[in-house]
Amino acid sequence: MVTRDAHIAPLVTFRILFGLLMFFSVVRFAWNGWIETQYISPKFFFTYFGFEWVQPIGEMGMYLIFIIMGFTSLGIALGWFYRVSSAVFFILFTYIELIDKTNYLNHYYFVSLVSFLLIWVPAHRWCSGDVLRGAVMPTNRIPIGFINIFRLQLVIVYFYAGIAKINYDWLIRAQPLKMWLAANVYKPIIGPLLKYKITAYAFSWGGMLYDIMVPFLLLTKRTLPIAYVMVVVFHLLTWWLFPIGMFPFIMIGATLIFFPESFHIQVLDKISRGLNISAKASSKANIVFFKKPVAVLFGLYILLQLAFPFRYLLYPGNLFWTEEGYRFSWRVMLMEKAGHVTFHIRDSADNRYVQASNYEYLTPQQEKMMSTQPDMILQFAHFLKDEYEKKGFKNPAVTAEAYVSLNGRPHRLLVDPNVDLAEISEGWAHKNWIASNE
Amino acid sequence: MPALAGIWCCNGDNGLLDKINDFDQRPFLSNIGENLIVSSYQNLSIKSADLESAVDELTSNPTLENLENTRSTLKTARLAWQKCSPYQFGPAETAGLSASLNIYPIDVNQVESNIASGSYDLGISTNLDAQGFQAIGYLLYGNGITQDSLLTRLALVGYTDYLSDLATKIRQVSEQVYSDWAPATGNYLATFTSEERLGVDAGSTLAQLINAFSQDFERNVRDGKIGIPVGIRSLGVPVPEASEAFFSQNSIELLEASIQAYEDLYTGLGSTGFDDYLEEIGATATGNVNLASSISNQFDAIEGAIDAISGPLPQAIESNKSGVENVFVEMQRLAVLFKTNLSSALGVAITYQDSDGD
Repeated sequence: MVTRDAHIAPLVTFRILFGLLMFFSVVRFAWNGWIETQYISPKFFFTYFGFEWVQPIGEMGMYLIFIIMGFTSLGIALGWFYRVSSAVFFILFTYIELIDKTNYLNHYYFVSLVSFLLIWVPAHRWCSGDVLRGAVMPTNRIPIGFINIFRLQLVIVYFYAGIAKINYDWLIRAQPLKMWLAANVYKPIIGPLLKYKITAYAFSWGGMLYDIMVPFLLLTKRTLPIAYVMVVVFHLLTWWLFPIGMFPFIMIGATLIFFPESFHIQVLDKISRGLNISAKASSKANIVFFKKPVAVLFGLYILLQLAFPFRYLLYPGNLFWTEEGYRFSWRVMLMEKAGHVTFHIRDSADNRYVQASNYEYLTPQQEKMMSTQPDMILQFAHFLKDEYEKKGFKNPAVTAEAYVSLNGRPHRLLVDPNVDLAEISEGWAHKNWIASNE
Repeated sequence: MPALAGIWCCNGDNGLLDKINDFDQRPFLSNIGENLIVSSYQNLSIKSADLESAVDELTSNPTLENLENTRSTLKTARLAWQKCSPYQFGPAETAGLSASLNIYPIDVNQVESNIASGSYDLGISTNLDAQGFQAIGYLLYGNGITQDSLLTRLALVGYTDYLSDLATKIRQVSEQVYSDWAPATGNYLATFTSEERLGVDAGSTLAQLINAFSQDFERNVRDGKIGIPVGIRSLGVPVPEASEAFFSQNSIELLEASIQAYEDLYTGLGSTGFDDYLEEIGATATGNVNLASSISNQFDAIEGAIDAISGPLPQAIESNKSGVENVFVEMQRLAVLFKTNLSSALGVAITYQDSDGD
């Protein structure tokens, strides 16, 4: 599992595919103009608790960061200055994601985790720029733990996404898929099928079973080919139906790591011959070891990955409603929330009363994300307190009237409309000012 | 399968082979495109041409009769604009229609300095709040000056030139947008109703329409017409001079027309509209009541609240502030229905920018 000697090839293909997909993602992000809309034009950023110091660094700075991410992702793919590339890519990518949680996506979290793991594995020891330039001694034998850590990560992603789907709305009401699929009835070929209730149920149950079973089918040699076909079909289907960006392709590429080493050796051999590069390397098993600090680091990493998604159990209330412990837990496409929040600001001294115009401070995307998530409502309330103090309000009280519709249910109040949010601090404790959803 | 269906289907659902969504967007979108959008833009383009010719008449012959006539064409053009305001996307967005026609409050000093200097470019941003209906209103009604001095002023070359330029620009931009939409010319209508833009995803016509009108309703109708003047969206202090039609004093009539425009869009003007769409997919609102009827009721509530205030808006704010605030509250309720229930029932995400989801 960990120290057994194995061929490096699966790790090398993983490195190449991940690097190329990241390069493509960075280019696509810039091409779509999202650097501007998400990191330059917003006036306010929803930072993560404990990471309030993470702020964007201006227009030039943000573009420069994306340019460096482009180069370092190629560095990862080519195995060229690999350790530096993967470390810099991890730091910059994670920095970007920490700036504003309204941009949170599970697949960005996945990218951060994988690029973190890549820093510590010897993926550049074969078929790499570092070998060509003589920076490292080539080898094609490594402890299998360096490959298995990525397999385990993928197993966790799928399996946790699967068990998260075991809930009333998903299985019994077939929501939110009923709404999302019905939205696609005009698509060619299978569009007309999507208008039937039974299709929503089939997709809900099928999706749950797929997520739970596919990691084990990928791990079993006999079922691997059929499992991979399922991976490709499933992710292409989700890509076609929903706006989920690069995620399907990242998963289709990443799951190749479950294939046996013979497959990867063949592929890399063909590529090397095509590029006319010699891929010869020492087959000695004792060049690369699992150093103790790395082994400890990976051990802790795995424990954290296994435990962190269950932190929601420590909070009362409905997870989908409160979202306390929702992020970083592989809850993918589980709910549809729509909301509208009005902030009421009252001056304690002279009875002045106003409502904030959220759109003056927030981008439409930020406004949409904030209106359904209590922690962001709290953050923005604090911002408004400061803002109105600057405008001459004395110790303003800020209350929020937030109406939210969850999975197609009629809207109801998300937070207690009488609580002065300006007086409440953010923290890990349960937010007892969130209104009940029953 | 029927047995299984029996187990699963609750709340009066009939069976798994039932359809969730059997609403055909095609007649719905062509009704809105043809009978609401294109015809509203056509009307605006006609009414703004009327305004321009009335202004020409007035500037060449500044009589009281011509002044009255121009004032009445200004009002008609403004009413025509209310019917177009929900549709500020596509050609209207490209042409900057809303900013050219209906910015308020205006900067009176900027207007006066443009007139005094005689050289100005209405296309630059410093002149954005020195043009449009409100600026024409200022020139036709003055700001507390007598009718005689108003007519004397309208005989001065600086004033007549500026007034003509304002009216011409409104006419040009309105005509441009109409011609971009009209089937015989730009035919944006074909894009609006095209097969590839059916559905509800980010690039669909429905998403574009809902996002445009929710944004207009929140910012221009709820906040612009009431929230800012009454003080709820300013610093808690009423700003009566920020009322629409502050000089001509018919802001409430314009507000009524605007709400009517939204109701027409919602009901599809007697043909297929959002109400039919919601009925077809069986959307419900709070308390399991039918969403289509709760939106209709909310329109009634807004109209009721408007009926309860009287006089020009600045006076109403002075004499019956809570009545005006109540109009705001009722409009706020409609905004909530638009942004939460309507959009999620139809599966349209309310965002005005594209991005990935997961």
